[in-house]
Amino acid sequence: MDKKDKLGIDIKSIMEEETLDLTLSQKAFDNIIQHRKKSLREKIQEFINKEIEIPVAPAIIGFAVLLAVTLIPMDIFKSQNERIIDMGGSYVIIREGFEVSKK
Amino acid sequence: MKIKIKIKTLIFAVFILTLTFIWAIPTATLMIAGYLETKDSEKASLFYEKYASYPTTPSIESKYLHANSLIRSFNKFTIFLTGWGGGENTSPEDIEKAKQILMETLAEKPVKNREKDYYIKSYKMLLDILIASGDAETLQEWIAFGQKGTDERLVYTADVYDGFLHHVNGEGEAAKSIIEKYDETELKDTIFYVLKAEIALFDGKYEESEKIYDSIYKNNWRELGKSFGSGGYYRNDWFDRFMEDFKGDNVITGTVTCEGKPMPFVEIYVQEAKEGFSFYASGENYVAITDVNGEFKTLGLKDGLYSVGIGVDGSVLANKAFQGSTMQYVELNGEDGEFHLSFRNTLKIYSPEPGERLSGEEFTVSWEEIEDAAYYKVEPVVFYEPFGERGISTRIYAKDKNGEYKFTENQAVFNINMIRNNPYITVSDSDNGYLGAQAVLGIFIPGVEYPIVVNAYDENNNLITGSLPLRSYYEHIPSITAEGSLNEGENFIYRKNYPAAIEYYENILKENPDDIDALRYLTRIYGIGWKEGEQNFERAFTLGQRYTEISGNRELLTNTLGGMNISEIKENRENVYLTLKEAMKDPDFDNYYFLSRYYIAVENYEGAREALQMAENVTDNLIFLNMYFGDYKEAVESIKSERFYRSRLSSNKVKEALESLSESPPKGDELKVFNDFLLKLINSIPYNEGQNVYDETVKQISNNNIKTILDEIYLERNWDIEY
Repeated sequence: MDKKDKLGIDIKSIMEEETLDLTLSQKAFDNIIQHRKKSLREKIQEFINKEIEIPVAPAIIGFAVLLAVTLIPMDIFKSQNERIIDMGGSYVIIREGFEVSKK
Repeated sequence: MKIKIKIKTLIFAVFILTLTFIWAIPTATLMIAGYLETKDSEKASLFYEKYASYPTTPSIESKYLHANSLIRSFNKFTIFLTGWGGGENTSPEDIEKAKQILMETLAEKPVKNREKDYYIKSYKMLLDILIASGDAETLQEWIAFGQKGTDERLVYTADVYDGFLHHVNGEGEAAKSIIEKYDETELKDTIFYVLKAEIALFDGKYEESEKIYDSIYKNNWRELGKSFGSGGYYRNDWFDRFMEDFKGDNVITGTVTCEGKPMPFVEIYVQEAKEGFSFYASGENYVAITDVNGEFKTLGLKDGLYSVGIGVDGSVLANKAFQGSTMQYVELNGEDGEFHLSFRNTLKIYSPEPGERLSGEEFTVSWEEIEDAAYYKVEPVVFYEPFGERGISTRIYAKDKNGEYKFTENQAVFNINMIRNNPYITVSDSDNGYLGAQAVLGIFIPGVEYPIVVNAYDENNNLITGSLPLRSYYEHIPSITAEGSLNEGENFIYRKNYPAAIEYYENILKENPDDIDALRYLTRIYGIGWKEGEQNFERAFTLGQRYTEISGNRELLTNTLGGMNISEIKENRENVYLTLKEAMKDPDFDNYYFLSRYYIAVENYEGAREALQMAENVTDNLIFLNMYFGDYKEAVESIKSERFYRSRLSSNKVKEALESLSESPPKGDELKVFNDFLLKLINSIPYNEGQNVYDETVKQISNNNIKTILDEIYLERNWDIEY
């Protein structure tokens, strides 16, 4: 165990000594950064800061449709106007939008 | 176009949107619904329904609000034999929908206090709907449901409605025990006090009842409009009116049934017969309510002649035809009275269907068989204005292609040309008094929709049932629309440009004196007069007679001249005589009325009486003629006849007076004065002269029996009312 540690320390010291004057190119540096293992936090940060392109017109239309479907009742545009007439002593209700289908 | 957006911004936007859909949109929907409700818009219920459909809204509250918005009110459709109408007309579909929603709500388990409040409200509303729709059986089931509950307010509500049910069924002690049970508790609300006041009222404790109603009115008057499924508990003004005009010792008992089955919770109203038909602005207040057996007993009433009416929820009438009653008025004269009213289910018309178009000349009407019917009549509905807004209408019987109008079979075939060739309605424009086009062109004008009604009658000509319910939707009514078009002259008539129509058809007659359309249309235009004072009976008779010779159709002339009044007949007696001579070869029932008027015009009163005896129904004139001839017993028989439409003349007072006159007939001057009065009546007394004629007559009469008869005629003719 001790032997192993000693060897490790030696190697590290040699490496540090040999690479003391080494200068990496930006490309190599970027390459290393890009390929290193990212932490979860970094991954999330990266994701939420990602920019996406959204087509404006479909987004607005989609939102408006969703809002309309959610807010406006289906039958709202059906005319509910009613008129009551007396027909031979009977109350007859004439409902707009309920015209008799002509046969 | 595209925009760049960071995902974190997008996530924030989605969060805001979710919040919008979960909270803001339901809240906005509820606010819109509330706003529309304050504006009395029917669209409010659509927004309440939407609100209830969101998964995030409180279920019990939202369902209650939706059900509540479907019920417009519990105001009643009022039916007196002299007229009917009113009510808010919640549709049967909405009533059913509200019931279903509330039943679903009551299957839920409320936890929070707010939920519990709406649960109780839902329960109460369901019971109110069941009372309004006359469903006693289901009401009892739901009362039992509440009484088994664990929530004390639920049990209380169930008990109070149980108390109401006991009260309606005349089980006073059981109802009072419920009042005692809750009288000292904090649970009491408006319905408790309404029940307490009603029990006191029907116990004859008027002052106590009025006091309770005063207190409710001061503290919570709004609740009075929706207690026990009725809007009829605003009794504050009613007390004064009732105590002054109605309170007495005799009661009216009776039944309200449909197809022989009881109709529970029907409100019973009374009005003084002399008032005619009227609605009180605050609605009617009942003097009785039918129990689960459809039976009722009114509060004590003083002697008098009463018009009895009923109040039911409009939705109940959707499939019912009003059969009428045994009598138009109820007379209380030192003893109790009776009144029975019945409905029948409507009969079904198999053909035509709603909106049917007719390309040929003939159409068939077929209908369901009614077991006890002696005959049926087919009655097209004629709107005074054939095109445009459907307004005033009338129903006329139609003759089939064989000339019959009473059918014993379940179908009849009609020829529209035959019907057009015999126009027998007289309609006029309400604005300028111009003759309506259909009075000349006849009905089944091309392109005009004519609803078809079938009625079933018994052997005494009493209506059994009909195809048209008291409340219906226009699009459900069978109808016929003939295809084709009007020619130039007919268009003049249709547009009521009668001077142009007259010129057009007179020119045609110059070239062809036998043009059948010109003869027919001009006979009608001249005979009825296209406006007041524009009749030309001489010309109508000449053209009508020619039309009869060519077509063999006698009806046109009698139908046209049959509308003449007595003085017009007097002035044209020769022509009328010739017309009637022809018509009586094959008389129609209408011809007898025309014949009687002719005889009256020529002062042959015995002839007039004989003619009226042959007519289909007993008229006032037949009764007056019987009196005029001193045949008072026969006058009583006429009044008692099933063929006489009940009026004030049917009262026991009149019958007893006539019987007394029969035993001790008037003599001398008094008889002469009475007979002079009767002759004036027979010859028709203009309304504005009625009061004077009555005053002049009655001051010369000392015989009490004659006075009674005069008084009843005076009231029956409404001479006491100034318009």
